[in-house]
Amino acid sequence: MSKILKEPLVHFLFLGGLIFGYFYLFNSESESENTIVIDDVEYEYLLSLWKNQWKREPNEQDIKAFIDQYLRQEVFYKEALALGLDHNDIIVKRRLAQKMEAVSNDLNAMLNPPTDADLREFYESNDSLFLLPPTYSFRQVLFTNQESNWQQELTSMQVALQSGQDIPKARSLKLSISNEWKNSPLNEINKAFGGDFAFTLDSLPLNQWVGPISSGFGQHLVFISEKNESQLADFDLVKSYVEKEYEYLTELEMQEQVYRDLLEKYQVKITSSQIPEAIKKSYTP
Amino acid sequence: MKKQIILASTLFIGMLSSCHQESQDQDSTTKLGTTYEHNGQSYPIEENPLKEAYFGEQHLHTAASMDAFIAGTRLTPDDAYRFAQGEEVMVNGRPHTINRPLDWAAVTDHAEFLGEAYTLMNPGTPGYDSEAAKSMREAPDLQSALAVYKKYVLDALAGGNAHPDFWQGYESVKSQWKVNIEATEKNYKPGKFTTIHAYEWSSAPNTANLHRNVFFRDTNLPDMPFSANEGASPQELWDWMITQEANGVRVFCNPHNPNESKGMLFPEVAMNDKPIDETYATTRQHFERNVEMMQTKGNSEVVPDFWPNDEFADFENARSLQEYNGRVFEKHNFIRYGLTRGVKYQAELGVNPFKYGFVGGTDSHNAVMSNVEEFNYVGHHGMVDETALGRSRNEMDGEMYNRDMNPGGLTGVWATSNTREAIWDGMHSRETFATSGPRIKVRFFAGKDFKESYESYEEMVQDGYSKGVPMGQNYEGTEAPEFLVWALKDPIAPNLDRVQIIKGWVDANGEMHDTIYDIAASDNRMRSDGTVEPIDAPVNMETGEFNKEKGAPEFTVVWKDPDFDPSQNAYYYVRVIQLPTARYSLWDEIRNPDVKYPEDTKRVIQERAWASPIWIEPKN
Repeated sequence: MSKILKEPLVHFLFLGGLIFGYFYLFNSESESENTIVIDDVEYEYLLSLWKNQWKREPNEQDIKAFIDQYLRQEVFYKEALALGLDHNDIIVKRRLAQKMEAVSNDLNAMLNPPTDADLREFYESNDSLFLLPPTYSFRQVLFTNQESNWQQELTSMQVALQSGQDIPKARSLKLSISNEWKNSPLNEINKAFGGDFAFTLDSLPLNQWVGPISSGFGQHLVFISEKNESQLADFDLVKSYVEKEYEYLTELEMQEQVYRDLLEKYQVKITSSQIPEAIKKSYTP
Repeated sequence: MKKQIILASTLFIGMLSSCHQESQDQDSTTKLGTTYEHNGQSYPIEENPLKEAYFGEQHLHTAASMDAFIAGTRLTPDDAYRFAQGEEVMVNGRPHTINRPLDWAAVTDHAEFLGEAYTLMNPGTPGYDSEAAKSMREAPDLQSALAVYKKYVLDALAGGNAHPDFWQGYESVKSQWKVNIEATEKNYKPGKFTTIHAYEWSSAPNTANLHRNVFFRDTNLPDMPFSANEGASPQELWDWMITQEANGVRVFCNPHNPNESKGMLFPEVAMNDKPIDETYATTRQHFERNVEMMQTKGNSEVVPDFWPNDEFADFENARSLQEYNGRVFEKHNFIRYGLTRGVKYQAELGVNPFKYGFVGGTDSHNAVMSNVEEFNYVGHHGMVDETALGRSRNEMDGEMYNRDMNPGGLTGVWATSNTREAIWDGMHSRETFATSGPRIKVRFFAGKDFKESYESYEEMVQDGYSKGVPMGQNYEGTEAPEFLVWALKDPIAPNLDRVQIIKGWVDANGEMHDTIYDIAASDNRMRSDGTVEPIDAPVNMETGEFNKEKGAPEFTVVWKDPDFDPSQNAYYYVRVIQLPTARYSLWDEIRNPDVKYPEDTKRVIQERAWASPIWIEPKN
């Protein structure tokens, strides 16, 4: 039994039944087909729609206008149904299909509002979604490929820097790029340097000047003082993002499962010879 | 490729994390930590006295622009800002992310149909279920969307009806404006990501495009934007801006698409047929600060038709726009003409009505902020250009062929910090540059006693400000100025080909002139007569790869005009040319073997940056 209760299709049909039942009960006064009733319930509904937008009470003229609009729509709607205009209309089909999907989404939100524990479990089992990029603190000195003797210069600079000398003025802010980067996330470094520079940092040793490391600008000597491996973002910090991801993924799952279950009620016969066999096969059980 | 995926998945989280780090990429010598207040909250930010180039979008439409809505866009202003910061959104039903997040952005929805957009997007509101609204929401394909657009927008406008029948009046306009304001506030992260309150005033008398984007400095905002329905003449817009200023609102505007203006953006007479006079010129200069150099509907700098000697004029000219609405090219429609006519007005009236800095934008109607990279282009107009096949063969109804459109341009603003006031002030003082998409950086100063070469970047920038004026200003000296130009490549793009200075002036007889100087070129290609040997750095047509050997990553040049005449009204602006790269049309063909663009379509382009002018205004 408990298994059955977890089946989305069961919920779906149950909720569908409820919706149908509601309409049956409330619209079953069996007025003849060409009666349009605006009772208190209907009026309150129309009124709330109107107030929802205008944020004030309607005057008599406004009421007349929205009643009139409603009647106009009802009349055309009923006549169109009577004429069968809803049949095989691509827009009507799409709209109804969307409504069914929306029902399954609402169902999901209604039946599975995530608790904090759900969110935490989702966050823990999908940690790849909530990883912070690794961060690096480093210094860098840049040589462009256009400098005729950049290789030599780089080698002698490496020795000088390793022995504790400062970065010479000519190479400070070379091409306007900062020499000193603190706790910078990988994506920021990549945006600023281009090439493979940001992705090379992970493989470099700490606390020594190494190079040449290439970027979108040229060649660099790099001294990394701190690496912080990619780590899980603090739950409380990203909770609203976790919630969004949770809702999105469970909604997709639910939609897909309802579709699959409903599809089983139908025998799909693809008779067109123009559709590739592999596709046909995927719809035969 | 794998790297890109890792990067994309950590990107959004990266944004979150960076909000919580005390200091990053802080250069102890040049940047100062300080505190910034917004709406009663304090934020730690960095101030850089040397200024930094912040890249962003200043022209973008979301579902709140009715034409975008009809074309199938459902992304909201909030979605657009999230995209700009690196989050994934669904564009035409497919997930899409910007390759590199932006520093700042502004949503500029059309003021004219804001109320309709509110009705269209809010179930249960009056008018939501009207025939017209339904057909706009439910257009199942391109053909029906176009029919709906024609019936309810174009025909309504032509028939003198500013609105389709389901418009609910000004209250609905205010409602949508409020939604846009809230999204702009919500996404503002001082120091990290700046948003600017803005909208588009979309006047097109007799289909001449006179559109302007309007930008506000802070949260002192009007209840409702002023649209072309309330006033179709720029003078009416300025009158409204004058009343806004009287209420303490800080506001300016940037016109765009002079290429579609039928000679009316840089005119001889105002829309009331009166000649441009001093009041007109003063008001225009006061409120209009930058002109959009390039966007998806073309580059408005120059066309080869009227500038046959400009070897780089043939670039994203969107020539097929001439086949629609009688928007035939004329010299008056291009920015270089406008700038020169402006200095002639300066000589005639003592004030220049066309004193514009440069910005670039996309004008995307897909809500994808600055999605300008050729390899990442997924169209800008809903269903019509969402696929490579569509881009190769469709026409954008009433505008041009889709293959003539481009991913659009980008704006760089020099500012001391990434805050709303600093970015707005940078645009207002025209310390801006436009690019055709790449993140090329360019600085431009005019002054005296600059050095031949500088030992460091810092020293050069300090000299630029202390001995000269930056782009967007007047050079006030009496002796011939020295121009200091610095340009830096985009780290993910090829090196630079050359740097040019374009000069325009009016002579003693009132004749207008302009000319181009090549002031620096890579790979020793400068000839003794001052011309440059064309670069030989072909793109690999099978893979789309650019040449990685040639060109220069950086240029620093000090240049003097050999023909400087202190008595002439003149302007100087900078154009930086990048090595050739693959256009989106080539990427589409490489990735989709069945797609073939017509022969007339360019596959390779030379992207570029334009730095705002510096003016010489002799005091006679």
